[in-house]
Formats: sequence, structure tokens, C-alpha cells
Amino acid sequence: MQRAVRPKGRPTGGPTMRRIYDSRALERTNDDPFAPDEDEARDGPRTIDWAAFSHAFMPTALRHRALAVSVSTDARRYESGDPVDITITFRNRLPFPIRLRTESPNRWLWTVDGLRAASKLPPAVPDRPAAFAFTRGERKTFRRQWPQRIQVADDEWEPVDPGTYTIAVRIARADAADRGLVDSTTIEITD
Amino acid sequence: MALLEVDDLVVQFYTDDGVVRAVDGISYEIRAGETVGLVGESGAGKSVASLALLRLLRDPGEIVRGEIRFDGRDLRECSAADLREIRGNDIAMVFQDADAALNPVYTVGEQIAEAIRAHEAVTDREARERAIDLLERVGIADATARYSDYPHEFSGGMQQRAVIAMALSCDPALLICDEPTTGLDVTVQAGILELLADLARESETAIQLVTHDLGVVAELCDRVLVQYAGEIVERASVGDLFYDPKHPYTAGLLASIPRLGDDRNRLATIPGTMPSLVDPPTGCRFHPRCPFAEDACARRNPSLVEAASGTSAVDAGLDAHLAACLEYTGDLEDGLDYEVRIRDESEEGAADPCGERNPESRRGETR
Repeated sequence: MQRAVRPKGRPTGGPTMRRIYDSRALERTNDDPFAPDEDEARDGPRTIDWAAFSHAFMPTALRHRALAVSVSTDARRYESGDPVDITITFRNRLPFPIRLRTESPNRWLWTVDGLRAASKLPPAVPDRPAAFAFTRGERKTFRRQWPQRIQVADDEWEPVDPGTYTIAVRIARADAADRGLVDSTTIEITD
Repeated sequence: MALLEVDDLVVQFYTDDGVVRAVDGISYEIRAGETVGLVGESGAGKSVASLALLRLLRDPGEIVRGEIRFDGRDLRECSAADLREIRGNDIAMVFQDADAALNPVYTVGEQIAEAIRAHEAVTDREARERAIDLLERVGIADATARYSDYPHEFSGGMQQRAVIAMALSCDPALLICDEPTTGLDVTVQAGILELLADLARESETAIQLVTHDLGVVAELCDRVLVQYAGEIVERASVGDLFYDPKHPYTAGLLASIPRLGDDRNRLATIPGTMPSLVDPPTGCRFHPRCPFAEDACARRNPSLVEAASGTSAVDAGLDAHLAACLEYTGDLEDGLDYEVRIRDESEEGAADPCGERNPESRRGETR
């Protein structure tokens, strides 16, 4: 049921009041007094959704080129057993918002020698598309710590041997490498 | 058969930073009329686990795996209409922030009456009378007059009582209380706890009490589940937990309770902070903070087993004392080295674990 505060018929009281009444801002439903009215929801907000605007008009190829992906570590050489601090950065190079489609709600992933999140287990994330969104010029930085161990079972991890390891990051898309949405770095673990 | 059975529940949130596994394979049961505490630090996943029971998780959170059976019905399989019927009627929830839980533009009494009308075929007059009865039952003085008050005219404690009245309006079999006394002063807190204890006793309502306050647990609960970084690390009766904690995390929690007459200069704390659930530690999730951790703790995540025998949680009885530590699977070389010291050994204290005889857990030297 809807309770209309506005008087029926053409509003009176001058242009200011008419604007208020015409906006229908005074209408509320009894079921949910703070929910916007259906009309308002249908008309949408008055400001432009630049993210949606940009997504609608920006060519897909440009979106991919706009995103810079980088991965770095706090050192190049590590003693065996020392944790490896990894910094992952995504940067939108453009002064417009962008949104990239990903193949998983886990928008990006990091790997050690090709093993996702240093694990031999299959990913525990549903297989469905999602989006990775950036505002104009936005930089997103994330951190991970790799304790030089590989997960080999649900409840078991094994330390890695000394040697050279490649730490990579990529957007969760099958064509990430082709579109330049990947980066990698190499570290050395010594005895 | 237990009233509520949660089996291998996994809840994940998808964020830009990665997948947050807030609840990771927890299993537990609650019997009819039983009060079970779910304790742990902030960020352990207690509230998420409770919200998941009624499928109240907000996007981007979702239940990925597991079963939630209430009275034999699988709540994950229920339709939205069935769930609406269950919520409030069979399982009710008392939220942490009563001020936010109440609608500011409706009178308190009307909100309680609305809950009754939503689930039962009653007239407006009957619903009003029952709402007034409920307000009286939860200790609101002059309930008839207070029925027409708006939430802002109630104090914090009265608001919480009103929310409890609303939760009790349809006589639920299970009441989920998510930190019901947080933010209230201690005298009001004591009143609310007394009220919940009375309700549990009188109406045979089972209660799942989510809290980080072990004092509240001692006061109210029959059994306790200790949650850490999304996993249950210990399950015990309230007496066993306080007098014989098996997990180092529980021992640390008990040691960090401030006490009157304590001669320590500084309050004991558990070093470090709760790990990020986006990137949890390998092996036992508590090992970076555990004073007894060995190399094996970083390589193996201990499963929940009966502390006395090492029997797996699946095969252990409902009342078995379970803990998830390599100590109980025989994989910890130097063992756990702490003792529980009972401060007052008088007979009265022995009968009341939450009274004068508060236990104290102290860590010994490690390794």
C-alpha cells in the first residue's frame, strides 16, 4: 500500500513546491518506508554512471591494453625457509573507468612455477564469470607471503628445494597471456 | 537426532584481494534445549557461520559446500518461501546491534506484533496483547505504555530486550544470539544474560550464542565451540573447556581474561593477530602465534580429534572433548607445556565455574 503525502490534483504553492511534488520525493510505501519508490528505481539516478558508460563505449581491446599487471618480490635471493613477500599491482592506465570480464570470481591468481597459489590442489572456486573493475587511473595493490612450501594435500604442505622459482600473476582469463594481462618474476632459493 | 546439524560448512567471499574463506569446513550439532557457545576473536568467522545458517549472507558471500539440517530438513535446499517460514518461526536471531535491528519509524510494540502476525493467524488485538506479554516477559516495565514507544525512546539495554522479545514471539526452537551483549554496560549485560538463561530454562529453546567473551560463555553455555581463522579448533563442555583447555589458543584466551586481585603487572595476551583469511598460514593456522609450534605445525593442518584418544571427530560422541592440534595426533615432538591453575579451591567455587573459582591458564616454557 502506498501513502501519498502529495495532495491530489495539480500542486499549488509556487514553483519550488511544485518541483518537490513533481519529484515525488515525499512518497513512501508503508511496507518499506526507506526504500526508494518504484518510479525512482525505474528512472534511475540523475547522475551518469560513468563506469557503465565507459564499459559500454570503450572497445574491448583497449580495456585489455589499459590494464598494467606487475608482480615483484622483496628480494631476488632467499635463504631456504625464509618467507617470500610478494607484491601484486594492477593499474588502470586510462583516465576512464574500466571493467574486465574474468572467468572466475577469483579475479586474478598468482602461481609458483605454474602452481596456483603454490598448491597442487584444484581451485575451490565456482566456475562462473565475474568482473574486475577499476576507477579512472586506479591502482590496486595486493600482498601475499609464500613460505617456500607447496600444498600437496588438503592438510599437508611440503617445503621446496633450493633452486630457481618463477612467481607469476595473471588475470583469471584463458587469453590473459595473449592480451598481456600477466607478469612474472624469478627468485632464487639457496641453502 | 540433534535439532541442528552443521556438516562441513564452507562459506567464501569473493573480493578484489582474493577469496576470503571465512568459514572453512566447520561441523557441529546443537540438541533441543541446549545452549552452545561459539567463541573466538573478531574475524574468526563466528558471525558469518551464524548468518549462513539462515542463508542471510550478503553478496559477495556464499555457501560453497556443506549441509545445514534443522529438525531433519536441509536448509540449503529450502525455497525462499520455506526459509521465510522457518526464519522467526523455528529459528530466530538476535543481532548484535539492536539499534540497527529495529526500524526507527515503527513503534517497538508494532514491530513485535508484526512478527507474530507474519507467522500466525491472529487478529491485530491478539497480536498486540501477545506483544505486550512478551515485553513484560523480557522485563520491560509498564509494557502497555511502552508498546507505543519508538526505538529511540528505549535505552540500549531495553532495545536489546525488545529484539529478544521479537525473536521469542513465535516460540522458536532455536535462538541464534550474535554477540547480544556487546556494546552494553556490564549491569545491563548481566540482566540480558540472566534473561537468556531464564528463557533457555523455561521454554526449552536451544541457543547458539556467538561471543568473544568467555565470561558470558561460562555464565550461559552447556557446550562450547572455539573458532579460529574459520575453523573449529576445540569443542568441549563448558566445565572441560575452563578447567582443562586442550588447544593452545583456548589456553591463551583463558589466560588473557583480566581478573580482580591479579598480581600480574601486565595482562597476558596472545601474540600476533588473527591471520588474513585471504592468505592463511600453511599447516595449523594458529602456528605463527603458538608458543609450542614446531616445524611440523607449519606443514600439517591438524584435524579435529578426541583429545584423550585421538579418535576422529566423526567417530567421537557428541560430548567428547575435541581439539585440533598435532599434540593429539602424536605429531608434536615436545608436546604442549602449560598448566591450568585453579585459584580458589573452596567447595562453593568448585560447583560454579563462573563464580569465584575462575580457572587460570598459564603458559610454561616452550620447548
